[in-house]
Amino acid sequence: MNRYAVIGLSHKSAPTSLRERLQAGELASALESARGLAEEVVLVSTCNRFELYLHDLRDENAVYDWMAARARMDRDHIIDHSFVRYGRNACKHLFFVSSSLDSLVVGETQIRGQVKESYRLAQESGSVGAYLHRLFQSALRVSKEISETTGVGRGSVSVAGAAADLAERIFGELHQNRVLVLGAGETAELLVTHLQGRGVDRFVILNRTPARAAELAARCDGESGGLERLVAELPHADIVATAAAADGKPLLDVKTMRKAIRSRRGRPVVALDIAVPRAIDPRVDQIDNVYRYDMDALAAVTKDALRHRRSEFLRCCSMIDSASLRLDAGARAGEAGPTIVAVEEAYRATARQTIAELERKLESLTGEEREVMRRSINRLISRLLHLPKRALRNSNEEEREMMRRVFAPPSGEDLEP
Amino acid sequence: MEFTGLEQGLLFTVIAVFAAASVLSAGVVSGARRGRGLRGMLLAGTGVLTALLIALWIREGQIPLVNRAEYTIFGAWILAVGAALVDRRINHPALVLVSAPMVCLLCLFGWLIALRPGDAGPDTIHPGVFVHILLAVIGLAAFTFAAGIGAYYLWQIRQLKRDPASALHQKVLPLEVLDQLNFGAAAVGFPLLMMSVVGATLFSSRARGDVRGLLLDPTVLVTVGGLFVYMMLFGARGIFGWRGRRIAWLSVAGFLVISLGMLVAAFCTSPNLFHST
Repeated sequence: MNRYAVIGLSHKSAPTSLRERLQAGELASALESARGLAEEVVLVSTCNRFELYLHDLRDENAVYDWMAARARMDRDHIIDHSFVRYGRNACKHLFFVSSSLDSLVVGETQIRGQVKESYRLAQESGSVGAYLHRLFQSALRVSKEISETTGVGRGSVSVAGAAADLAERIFGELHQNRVLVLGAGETAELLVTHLQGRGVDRFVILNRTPARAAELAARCDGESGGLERLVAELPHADIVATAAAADGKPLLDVKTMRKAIRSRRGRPVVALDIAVPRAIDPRVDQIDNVYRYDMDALAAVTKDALRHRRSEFLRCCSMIDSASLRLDAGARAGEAGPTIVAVEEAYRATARQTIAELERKLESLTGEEREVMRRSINRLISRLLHLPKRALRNSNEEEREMMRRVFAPPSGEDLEP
Repeated sequence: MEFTGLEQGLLFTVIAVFAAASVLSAGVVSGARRGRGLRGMLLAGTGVLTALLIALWIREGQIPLVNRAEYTIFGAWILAVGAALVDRRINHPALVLVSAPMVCLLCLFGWLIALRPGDAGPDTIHPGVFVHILLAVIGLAAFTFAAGIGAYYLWQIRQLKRDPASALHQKVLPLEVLDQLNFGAAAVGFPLLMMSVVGATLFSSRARGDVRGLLLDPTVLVTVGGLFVYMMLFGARGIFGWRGRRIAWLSVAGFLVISLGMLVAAFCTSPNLFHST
């Protein structure tokens, strides 16, 4: 476990400009050039992080040199913005990353796939051995467990996401719904992008300046026009989003909405008022089958989701602790294997020697008695070795070395008193 | 009517399974629990209920639709089978949340009715009466399901309007799906119950030569009242395009009228006149 290391930069330690320079170019060639840094290497490169997971790191400085060369920057500048973790802390770091607990938006779902992809690339290039294989398998397992059993990824933490979630509660899947957007600014664009991600492909963009509406409509393959088309378009829209500020009076009043609902024969409408000041008359909420959500309501949803995610954080930490302990125990048992074999072999050799001497001295023993003697000595050896073997499975490298010296001295020093 | 030991055991097992499914589904819908085993419980409960009906059938030598306790349990079975079939398509804990408590209540209700002395029913029933009862039971089971979905719809719009943040924590079916299920179930129940009532009226009038006595039967009166509410529901949907909240209210109201009549008829009056005919 002590031989694991992670060196890298993330959104927490380095600015985007630096991360961008490291991320430039192909990942496969970057990984190829990093192979000499350690026995095993995996490079995780996403928009928020650039991290090298290593086993049997040869020289930490060589990693900084490699990063500096890649970013074409001063080595000290890289060191200032990077972090390094060893042993169990390195393993736990990967568990946090793959479970999205170290992400910019805690609970986002992309990172698990990105870690998986990085691992796959490293496997293809042959830079992964048994140790990093075990580490990444554990990380992917724990991230799956966390996403399935905790609420860390539940709920949307963006206004657009919360709006889409609420619309889904009313219509189910959104791909058959028509969306009318009033406004063509940045907020409108964000909402359109988000809804496109949920499968919506029928947009109508209306704006005071029709040319700007046309620009956004071209991006989402929708229709566009001026605000005067609102009354005509409203009855056909399942979701109405206002992202344009109202000039004194609301863009959408109760009368217009009531008329539209009547034309729709009661089919529900989700009215998203993401403009400040509000552009939809709050009283439209009293109309049957109209679900109006303004910025306050959507912000409350996102706040609640964030609070919920934070409340799950401690639970996730304890799951990660358990996973890292399991990995540690597995690693120790694996690493102790050769020492256990050496100790057992030394004792068995002594036992064989003793049996041979006894058989020479006690010639009068029958075959059956000899067999009983052999079995008894072997059983004694097994019992004597039981506790040392158990201790070895839980030992660190130093303790293993000490036990090897005590129980299995190098050839020449026999176990005879 | 009296249940044998085996029948009573099966009935209590059904009640226990559906009660447990109700509690578990409430936990799943509220987001506090995971839904593993919910579908299994629904299927297991339906299986045991089927076994109970088969046991009754074997004992009585005819389909167990002879007395009120059996109608009620048969209705619970129709509801459970219907819910299992819809769940196969939609697979959502909300369906179990709506149907399991009702199946549980109907079975409990059937057991309570069976405790009443003197409602063993005839040894054999006329095929016309059998068809009347079968259609009525299926129709009422459909209305029960529609009303459950309607009540659930009303609760959900309240959540979505008043507290959208907590509504998102819950595992619920979209409103549009609930509206379709509500209307669909009512649309299945209405013609069946209507055919049952009309058929029985014709049958009874031919046998007695007079239908006036039927109009004084509380079960008939209330059923016709309930059907009138459902007629309003279909009319409002077709003519005015009503959807959502109003349709859900009408569905719940229609069911309440009919079930109130059934309750009164079950405990306070003699068996209805179709039956005595």
